[in-house]
Amino acid sequence: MSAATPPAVVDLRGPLPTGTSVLEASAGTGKTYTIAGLVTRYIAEGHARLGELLVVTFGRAATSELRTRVRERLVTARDALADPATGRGSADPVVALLADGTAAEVAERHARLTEALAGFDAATVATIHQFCQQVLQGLGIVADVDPGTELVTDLADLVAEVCDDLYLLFHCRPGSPPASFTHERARAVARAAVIEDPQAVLAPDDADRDTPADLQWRFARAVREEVERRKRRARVQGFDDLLVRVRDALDHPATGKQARERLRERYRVVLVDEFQDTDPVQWDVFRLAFHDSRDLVLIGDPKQAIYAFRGADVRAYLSAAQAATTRATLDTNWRSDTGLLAGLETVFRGAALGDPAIVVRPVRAGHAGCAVGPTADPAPVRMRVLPRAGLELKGRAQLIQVDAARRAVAADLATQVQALLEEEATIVPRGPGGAPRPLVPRDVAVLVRTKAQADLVRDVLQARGFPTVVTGTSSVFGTDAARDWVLLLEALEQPHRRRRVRRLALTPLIGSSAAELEAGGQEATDELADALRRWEDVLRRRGVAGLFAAVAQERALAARLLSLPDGERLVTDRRHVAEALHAEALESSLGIGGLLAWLRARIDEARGDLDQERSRRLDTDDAAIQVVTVHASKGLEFPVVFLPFAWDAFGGGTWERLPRSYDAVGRRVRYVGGRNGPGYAAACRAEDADSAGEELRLLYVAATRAVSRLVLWWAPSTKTQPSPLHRLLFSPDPSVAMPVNVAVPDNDGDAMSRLQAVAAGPRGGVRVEPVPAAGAGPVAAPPAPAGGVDGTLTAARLGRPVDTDWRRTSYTALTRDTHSAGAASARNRTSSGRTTRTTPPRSPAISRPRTSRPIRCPRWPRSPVAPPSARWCTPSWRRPSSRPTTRSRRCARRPDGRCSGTVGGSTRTRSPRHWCPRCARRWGRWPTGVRSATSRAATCSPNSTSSCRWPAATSWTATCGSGRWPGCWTSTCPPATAWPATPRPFATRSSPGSRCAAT
Amino acid sequence: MNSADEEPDDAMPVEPGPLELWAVGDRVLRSRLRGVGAAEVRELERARGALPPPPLGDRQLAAIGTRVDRLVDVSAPLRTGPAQTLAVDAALAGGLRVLGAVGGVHGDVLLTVTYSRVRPKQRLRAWVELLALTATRHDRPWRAVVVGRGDDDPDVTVVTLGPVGAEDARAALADLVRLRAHGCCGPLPVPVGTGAGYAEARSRGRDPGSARVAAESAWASSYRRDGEDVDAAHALIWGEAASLTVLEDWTASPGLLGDAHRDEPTDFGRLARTIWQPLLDAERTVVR
Repeated sequence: MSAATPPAVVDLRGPLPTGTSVLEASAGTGKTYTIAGLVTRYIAEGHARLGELLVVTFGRAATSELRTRVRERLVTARDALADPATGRGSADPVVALLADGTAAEVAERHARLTEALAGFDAATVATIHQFCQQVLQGLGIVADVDPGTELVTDLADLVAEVCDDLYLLFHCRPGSPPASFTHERARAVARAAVIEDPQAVLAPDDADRDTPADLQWRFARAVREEVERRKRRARVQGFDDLLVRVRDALDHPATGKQARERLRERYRVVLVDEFQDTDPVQWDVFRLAFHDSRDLVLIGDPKQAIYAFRGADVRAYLSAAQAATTRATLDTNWRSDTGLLAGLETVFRGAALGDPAIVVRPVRAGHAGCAVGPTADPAPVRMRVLPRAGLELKGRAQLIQVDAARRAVAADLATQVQALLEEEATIVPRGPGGAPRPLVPRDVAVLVRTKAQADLVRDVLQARGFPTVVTGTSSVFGTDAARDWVLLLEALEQPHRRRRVRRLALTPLIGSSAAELEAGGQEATDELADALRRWEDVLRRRGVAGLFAAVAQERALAARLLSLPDGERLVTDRRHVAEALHAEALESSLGIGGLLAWLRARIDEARGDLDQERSRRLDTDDAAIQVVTVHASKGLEFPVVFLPFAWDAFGGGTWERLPRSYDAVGRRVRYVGGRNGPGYAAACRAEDADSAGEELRLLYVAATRAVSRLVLWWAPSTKTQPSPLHRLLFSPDPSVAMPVNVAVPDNDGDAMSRLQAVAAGPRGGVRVEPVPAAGAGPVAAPPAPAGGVDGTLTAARLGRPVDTDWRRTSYTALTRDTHSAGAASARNRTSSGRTTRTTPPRSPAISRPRTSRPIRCPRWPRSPVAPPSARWCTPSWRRPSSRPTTRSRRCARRPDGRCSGTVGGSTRTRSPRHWCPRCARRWGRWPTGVRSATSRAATCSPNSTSSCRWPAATSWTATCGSGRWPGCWTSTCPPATAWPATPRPFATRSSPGSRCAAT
Repeated sequence: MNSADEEPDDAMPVEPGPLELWAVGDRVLRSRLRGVGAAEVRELERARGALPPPPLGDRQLAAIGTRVDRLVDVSAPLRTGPAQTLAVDAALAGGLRVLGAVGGVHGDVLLTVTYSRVRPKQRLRAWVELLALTATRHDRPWRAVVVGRGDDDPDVTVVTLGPVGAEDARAALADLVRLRAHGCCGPLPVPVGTGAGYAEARSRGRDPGSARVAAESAWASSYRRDGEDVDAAHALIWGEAASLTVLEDWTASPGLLGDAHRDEPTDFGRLARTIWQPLLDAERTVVR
């Protein structure tokens, strides 16, 4: 589809997408909202039950957010449909649509939603890897997986081992050629071939025999094969293997058909979020399983495809879009102001971001008005142009030396931030009824491309006295905190070595100064050594967490460090490392020596570590300006965004590369032949072109984070030519072509007039302004430090109420009362022969059980179970957990949901039964009224014939209404009179179940 | 300061790092100086398993062997007779005595043969030993000779120090002893390479500005190589990636540096020259 014919617009009220559809959602157009709306409609209109829906997204955090959003939406819709008249007037198009219809239709939709919510746990909202793992387990022998294969997150160690072994093998055979490539190169090749691009075709396959290029190619293939072999032998698999194995299972000539059918049986509708981050294997999985046979909705924004470095491949998205039966876009931006959107349109000019099919299309603003007030800025996008005057220039074109330009822009950025914060702007909330609040530093984000830029910005802003936090993925193990922990562990290991103890004393953990150590002499060191011996004991008994607590308390860590200017950072990092160490110590049962080795290894690899768990946490939630890398900013929004370095190109350099490219049929190719191999230069050029496209998309992502204002900088520096902003602004027509390098005008006047011409585009909204020449212009006085930063510390106050209903407790604590209560009720039974209820039934909705309330296991005589807490008693609550009380009476839950146990020496097993969708009550069979129930009362009131035997005859009967049966605490519990007047709590197998009195 | 203990490695070496290679070279050199034959040393090293298996490791072993052969050849004329260890007891002004022993004395020559490249550290060590020996017994024209690898393999650098007069030796030794005493109480801003770089440039007649450039090249790290500023102890005392200015801002306590080198603009410069100037005056370097 070309840019000339914009695709249709997604209408949540229109017909539901069928077949394979690709929905292109530009930034801020409410992708998650759309998915939740579609899910609601698919369910309410009866296209699929919740269990037949598959919603896939990328990343675990996104999954849980999506799950929450979908559930909220279902709840809203269900509640609104309870009253169709009001529902029809709802602002939510989905609700309005669903509420529109005959009473019976609406009631049926309502019932479907109710049922879906009751079984919400059955919904498959998963990451692609979770989904594939489930599929592999479900496919059994149809998939080629050894049962018991373990999933490992990191194969780097295995690959390094294989690489070393094969390197020796390649070079140490008698008569083998001299080392044609270094070991370092071998490691890089192995990483590229196995970890970074396991699916890519390796190139060059046409190098002359035994040339270095040929040897490296053979080496890469050998490493791949050997890693695969060793993975199978060790019964491990990586995340990529999950996908590949599912793909292979679906594609298998003999069993593939069966595998595909099983998946199709299971899922009727499939929605995939963030589809631009897909890769060919993922698309193969969806294509083979669902394309052409199920409703497959692919939602993504190719303009935001920025994860090529992680293996994502926007071409897979484009080929899916080619294959789709329908394509549509989301055209309303709910994030940004009208003016800002106009400004973005002026800047982007319908640009094609790296591929003719990836086009910036105009979007409508969903909100009128302006989020940052008090008055709307007529030009919310400002372009600041750095003049050459006063800066170091280079070359014939007189370009600014790049470091000088960076510093100048950073200085101007600080000035602009200061001006903004002194402007006393206000934030006007979008929703109705919110009062404007002043703009605070937290509303301001500076988006950067690299960590070095982030550090530069942070330094400049902090020098001006603005609180600043850097969000990013730099590993905590690269910080001083990790080194401090090494010193602490070393000292703990050998507290008799004075050198170690004294070195430790100088760290912030202990906080002595050299002068204090000197003045304290031998005694000070001995004292610390004694403390270390004590702490070692703490470490052994309580783990690293206990050790850290002890050190923090004895050395007053928080009070000492927080009084320092960067104190929060210091404390956060040290605690973070402590937690990581603790987790590792628990998981691998490590002592001091093991922990030290582990920690040193993490420190060594800190530079390339992108693990979320290990990336430094935010040190403060105080009002601070956020400095965020563009990659980390995806999905976020900020009222005001500064984009200081969009003129600065990333990458470059002449190191020996392992370029990625694509062959004629679109397969990914990884070139491992080295710089003298055939086709190296072409592969590098192809990669450069691809990453130039990706840089443009990064610019798009960065610019669209802004809600209300965006400030960009342009500078004529030595690195401006290949930079995304420069290419965008100085290409004649970016919707047609943007060369990889665009010449920078020789003088400031030409550049200025060119930028003015761009800003004068039809939509307007952009203002071009020169940065005052270096040294000119008044330097504003730094702001006074905000309140509370005057050096005095006070403890934070807990201002929110504490939910005392929700707690973690031990099983023993839960059942302590049961034993006494059980004894009492046993006495009761003995005396009267039957248990009569003397208390009125508990008021259903409110009477949540307190955690200590005793109830009996409905499955096993006299086996106490934990009562569900208020939060467990939701429709998702399934089975009471149960545990043995004595050796002879066991009630163990097995993984298949069956329950087996011993009563009086004979083993019994019970299978899981059906559960009432409304109140989570268990039934031997479905009451006929439940499925088609249209009224609230009918849902779980067993109102018809044989099916209301409750529960099945051979099972126990329950004491509904007595408060003993967990299912009774939902709001729809029928009145107690509807239930057997003489509940027999624990009928034996031979006794018939009671008939429901309601019949 | 650095306490990172090496973890024992149980894997077969594939690509030994510079430290491991140095350890092999040092071991080979010691063996050769003890008189073990080249072929035998090669077999021993192969059997030890510190290098990758042949032929990968053989190339590295051959390179090491060539360097060691050159060091052994160049130092052969100096290694006359067995090495002696001589006691040192130098009486200095103010009742101070320097006690100890110096080893590796062949005739008049205090010989150091090292597999390292000859750096300021090795020169300064030899210099101190020479001073102590001369101050104790000035009956012979003592010289210190350092034989080590040159900047380009397989060059060999031979640094000869001395002979120095007994009084000069005592004076220079007294200066060093005084500075050491001070250094035990507080940091002295004179990292070995940085101080040597500065003092050498100055003693070659360069002005303080260009001497500072020489010092900075030894001190500051670039993306290519680490300078002395990344040394853990230096980073701890002077700060992470501290600039040379931090060292230059140091002020000497009164009397520490005496009256010498008043022409230096900074106390850092005076300190460096106090330490290095006598050595540089007595030094001759030959690259062979």
